[in-house]
Order: sequence, then C-alpha cells, then structure tokens
Amino acid sequence: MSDVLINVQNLSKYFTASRNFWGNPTSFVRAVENVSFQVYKGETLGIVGETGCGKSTVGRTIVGLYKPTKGTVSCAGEDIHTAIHGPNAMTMRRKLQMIFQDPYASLNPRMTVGDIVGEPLAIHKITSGKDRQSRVYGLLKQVGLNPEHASRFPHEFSGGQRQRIGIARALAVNPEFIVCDEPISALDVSIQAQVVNLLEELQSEYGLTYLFIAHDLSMVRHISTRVAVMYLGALVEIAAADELYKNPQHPYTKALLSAIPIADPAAEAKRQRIILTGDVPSPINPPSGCKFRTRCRFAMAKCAEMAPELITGANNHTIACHLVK
Amino acid sequence: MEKILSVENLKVIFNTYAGTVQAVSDVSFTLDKGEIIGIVGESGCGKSVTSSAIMRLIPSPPGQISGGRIIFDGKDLVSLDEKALQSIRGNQISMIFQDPIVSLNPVLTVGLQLAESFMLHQKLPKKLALEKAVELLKLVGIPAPEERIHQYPHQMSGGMRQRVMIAMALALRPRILIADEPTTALDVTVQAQIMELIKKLNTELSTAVILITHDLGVVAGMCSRVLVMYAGKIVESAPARELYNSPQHPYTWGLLKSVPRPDKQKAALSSIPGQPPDLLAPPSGCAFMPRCQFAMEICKQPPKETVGSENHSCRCWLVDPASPYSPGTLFKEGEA
Ligand SMILES: Nc1ncnc2c1ncn2[C@@H]1O[C@H](COP(=O)(O)OP(=O)(O)OP(=O)(O)O)[C@@H](O)[C@H]1O
Ligand SMILES: Nc1ncnc2c1ncn2[C@@H]1O[C@H](COP(=O)(O)OP(=O)(O)OP(=O)(O)O)[C@@H](O)[C@H]1O
Ligand SMILES: [Mg+2]
Ligand SMILES: [Mg+2]
Repeated sequence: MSDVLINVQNLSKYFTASRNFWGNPTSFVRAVENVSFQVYKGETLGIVGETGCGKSTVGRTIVGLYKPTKGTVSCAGEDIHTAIHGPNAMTMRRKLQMIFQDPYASLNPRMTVGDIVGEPLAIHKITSGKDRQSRVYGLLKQVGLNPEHASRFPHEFSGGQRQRIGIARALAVNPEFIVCDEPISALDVSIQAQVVNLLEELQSEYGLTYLFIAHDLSMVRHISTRVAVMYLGALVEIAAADELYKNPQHPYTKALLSAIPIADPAAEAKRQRIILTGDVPSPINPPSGCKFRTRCRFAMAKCAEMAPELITGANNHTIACHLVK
Repeated sequence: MEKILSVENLKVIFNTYAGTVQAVSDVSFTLDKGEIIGIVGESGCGKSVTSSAIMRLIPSPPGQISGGRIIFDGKDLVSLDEKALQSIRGNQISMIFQDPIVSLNPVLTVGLQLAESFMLHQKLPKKLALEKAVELLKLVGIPAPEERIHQYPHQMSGGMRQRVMIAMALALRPRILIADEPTTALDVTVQAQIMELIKKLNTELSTAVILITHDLGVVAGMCSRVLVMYAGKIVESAPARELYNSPQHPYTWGLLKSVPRPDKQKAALSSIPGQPPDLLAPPSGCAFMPRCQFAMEICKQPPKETVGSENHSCRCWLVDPASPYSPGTLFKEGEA
C-alpha cells in the first residue's frame, strides 16, 4: 500500500469526570487509551465499536478539535497539535476536515447554503467575490445540489440534502483527509446509499483519505479499505475490511460481527450468533488488563493482570488479545 | 392458524395548521396467534401511527382514526369506549416503545413500576406483587433482580431499561406485543440480546408480536411475514423468505439493493433517487412513482392490490394482472 498520511501513536484522551472542592480533577473518563494506527493515503479506514467506545474522540483528536492527553498524531510526518498552535496553523487545519452525524445541528440555521459553503473559503482566504461564488456553485453541483439552492436556508432541505451541504462545506478548502463521523446514521435507509455513493465518487476523483465512523457494520465494510474495532477506549483489532469480516480473531470482534442482522432470512437461519452477556463497563472505572475480559468467554488470569499489546500477524491483521499469539 | 387481530382499511389523519396529514391510508393486515410479523419502512411512513391506532393511543386532537376497523377478540377496537380499552391495553395487547427512558417513570423504582400492574389489575398485595416483579426481571434476563428492583431507571444501562420495558409489557401475559423500534437506540450486541429475548418469549408464552423497524436485517431473522410500508400504505406483504427472494414492488427491491450485505462480496450500492413524499399532499396515484425507475403513464392512478401465490400481495401496476411486465425480469434487467 502507499504512504502513511495520518499516524496515530499511543494516543490517550481523558476527560475530567469529577472535580474536588479545589477544582482539581478526581476522576477521569478514559475515552481513548493507548491507541496506535496509521491511515494510508487514499484509503478509507473504518472505525466500529459500540456507543461510548471512543470513536468520535479519536476522530476529533485527529482533526485537532481535542488535544491529546498522551501520545501524538501526525499528518504527512508533521505533528498536528504542534502545527495548529504554530504559525502555519491554517495550512494544517485546511488539510483536515470533518463531516458530522447530525446534519441538522451542524449547519447554522441563519446562514444561506451559499454562505455556509463559502465561509471556509473566506476564513482560509482562498477566493473572493465572483470567484468565490462560482466556486460555491461548483461545489454544490459536485454534491448533487443546484446552484439555485445557494440562496436557501438549511431548514428548507431534507436530511440527505443537508448532509450534502455539510460535505460541500468540508470539500471547499481542498482537504486531504476527512473524518466522517456517522455521516449517514441520521438518514433514511433509502437515502444512505446516495450519500455513501457520493463520498466514494469524491474520493476517487480527488484522492481523498477518509476516516469513516459508523454504527452500521455492513456499511462500514462496504466503504472501508481497512477496519479498526474499538472497545471501551482501546483498539482491539485492525485489518483489511474483507479479511476482518471473514476472519475476525478478537473475541469481541467475533461477537460484534455475528450480531449484524443480515437482510436475508435464509442467511439468518443458517448463522451462529454469539450473544454477549452483560453490559459495557464504565470508562471511568474500566477493568484492569484487557478491557473486554469481563464479558469474554475465554478470559484467563493473565487477562486481568496486563493489557494485551497489538500484534501484527499474517495478512497485516493486527490483534490485541492474549489468546492470539 | 387462528387469527387474533385483523386490521381492515385503517385510515388515520392529523389535522394540522398546514393541512390534513394522511398518516395512514387504507392499511389492512392480520396477525395469527403466536406469530411474529414485521412492519418495515422509512421514517414517517406511518409505522408508529399504525401501532398507536391499534392501542387507541392516537392523540386527539390533532389525530383521528378516520376509517376502518381493528378487530380483536370479535370486538372492533375503533368503536370501544375508554373503559373497555383500559382492560385491553397492557392486559391483552401491550406495547414497547423506541425510547425506554421516556416511557419509564424516573421517580419510581423499577420494582414498584413493575409491581403496580399486578396491584392494579390482579389486586395483589404489594409484597406479592414485588415478588412477581423479581420473577419477571429474571425472565427477561436481568442479573441479581432482587437488588435491581430497588433501582431507578437512570441507574440502568439502555439495554437493561429496554429489558425492564419488555418485562412491564409482558407482566400480564398479553396476547399481542407491539414492539415499535425496540432496539433502534441500542448497540448491535445489545440489539442481538433483546431480539433473542423477544423470540424466546414468543416461543415460551406464545405471545404474538408485531415488530416495527426500519432495519430489513432485523426483520429477516425474526419474522415469518413482512409488511413493507411506504407513504402511509402497505405496498407489499409476503412471507419473509418470499419477500426477500423475490420482491415485487420496485420500492422493496430498491431498499434491498441499497443495503450492503455483510456476508457477501462488495457490490456497488444502488440508491433510490429522490425523497419520500410529503403526506400533506400525497400524489393521487402511486406515491412511489416520482422515484420509480419503472414508472408508467398508468401509475398516475392509484394501483390496486394484487395477491399472488404464497399470499404475496403487492400494490403496483407492474404486477397488475393486466400488466404486460413481470417485475422479476424487469429487476434483473435493472441490475445490469
Ligand atoms: N467532551 C467530553 N467530556 C466528557 N466526556 C466525554 C466528552 N466527549 C466524550 N466523552 C466520553 O468519552 C467516552 C467516549 O465518547 P465518544 O463520543 O468518543 O464515543 P463514540 O464511540 O463516538 O460513541 P457514539 O457511538 O455514541 O458516538 C464516552 O464515555 C463519553 O461519555
Ligand atoms: N401528532 C402528529 N401531528 C401531526 N402529524 C403527525 C403526528 N404524529 C405523526 N404524524 C405524521 O404521521 C406520519 C406517520 O408518522 P409515524 O410516526 O407513524 O412514522 P414512522 O413510520 O413511525 O416513522 P419513524 O421511523 O420515524 O418512527 C408522519 O408524516 C408524521 O409527520
Ligand atoms: Mg460518536
Ligand atoms: Mg415511529
């Protein structure tokens, strides 16, 4: 595969959960803990995992919305968090864009669509006047909207159209890397495929690199080159999409994938489900050692003692589990 | 099979300041004893309104059941008075909702909420009712139920609260359980737990279930029959295998092709263009026509329901006996 664009090394992000009388933190939400992975240029890395496992936190830290508690994130070899606090902050910010889950909440209701899409052009001083207008029209066309839509307000659009506006806005500054944080979760089933197809077209046209976060495991497999699985702040497995779905190794990944509903009664009747018992523990007080051990059928004494390291085996398949040698 | 519910030509409208919303128009289906049927369709197509109508929980005003009958136990629920309905709701037919946190009382312990229905309907003393509550929580797979009954809803996880909701819905052993998107707010592994539970209760207590969801996958693993709704109407219904293997309505076909299959090689996703229609001014003909790649001149007139073999029914001019086409071959061509 080609060059590494984004390199995440030993990233941890803690949020303060409670403070004492003096305002000093007394407990933390360990949203992301010691996560390392790379995103290659031109690929789509999918991130899956259940609510609260830290997917959005990883995405937001990569684009610089959060500062890492520990570890580093770099883009094409340059440390992101040093860059966005240095003289070339704008250059780095321009490279990294984000599309959000809720197309309703992420667009300013008092701005016209033209202003929303044109705003990043103004901030980054890319174009002005007539040029800016034609660039905005061009962007709207690229995402399947009409130039006439530029003078309308977000509430006049459907969910799928609003998501297109968000995509046009992210594309405006010619980014290299886009974090798509649940871009289709709020959309109707029949509209989801429209947006996914658009993201794929834009990727092949501009060589974009995506981090694609979603609940829908089937859609993640469809769009991703490689897929990373997170559990309670930790990365448990990462491999090429087909390899991961056909040959999952981590007990959590196995359970997760076996729970995906398949839209075919014949296939449903044949499959063997692994039903996990219990709930996901709290990230404020996570289990020692391997975080999945409290729900794992194969947990051993060792699993409570130390956290398994990520080990890369055949087919570039990386797993963090004491069972897997 | 013995029929326990039959919905006939149900119509529900909402009178809003912008005009009359035709939320459900002409919906008919039946439910057999001990059966699980699925209703699928996208946001706003009328799934929840249909189920609220069966429970007679349509807020009025602005809503109104403007036509049709809902026959349960030989009685038409549409014409029953509130007192008669109260003895059916919860007792004979009960419902679980999408969001358990709004349907549970936040200031009452889970145990008391469960015990209430036994105290109210079966006139049990509190102590006995609480014992029954513990039994129910055990039935729905909540560990350490003796301790859990003293907890408040906010002290439980989403999956746990949904179990409590199911326990409440099942407390009085209803004959019909309506589950309106019971797992939409939950993660896949928890969703699998809840679906497993509903299936188990269906077999053990032979409760008939109406499962409402927008997820074609969830339905495939659970239901014997599936109804597909679009813009307030049932556009297709068939036994599950039949529906997934040979969809006849272009909307069903489009939906099935727009979800990726996790068990198959990657194939291009085909999307359905356009948006679902506005129910304030629904098209007079087929509501799917503006988005349909097979639309014909005749589609401007409302399509009739055509029933084929295996009880496969479809509302589409393509399958009308007079139609020169067969959706099977059309869809194969559309595939290319
Ligand atoms: N700004 C914040 N302050 C405090 N805690 C936070 C903050 N953002 C996230 N968290 C916590 O960090 C953990 C990880 O959250 P995150 O939003 O990254 O999860 P996620 O995997 O994106 O979940 P979801 O699928 O629900 O979007 C959660 O326990 C969450 O409550
Ligand atoms: N109280 C109300 N007032 C006005 N219109 C309503 C009301 N309740 C529902 N409707 C309308 O009735 C139609 C059907 O709504 P319903 O809630 O049944 O959809 P649904 O299929 O359950 O969708 P979802 O998947 O989003 O839950 C919608 O167009 C909705 O706007
Ligand atoms: Mg998130
Ligand atoms: Mg609904």
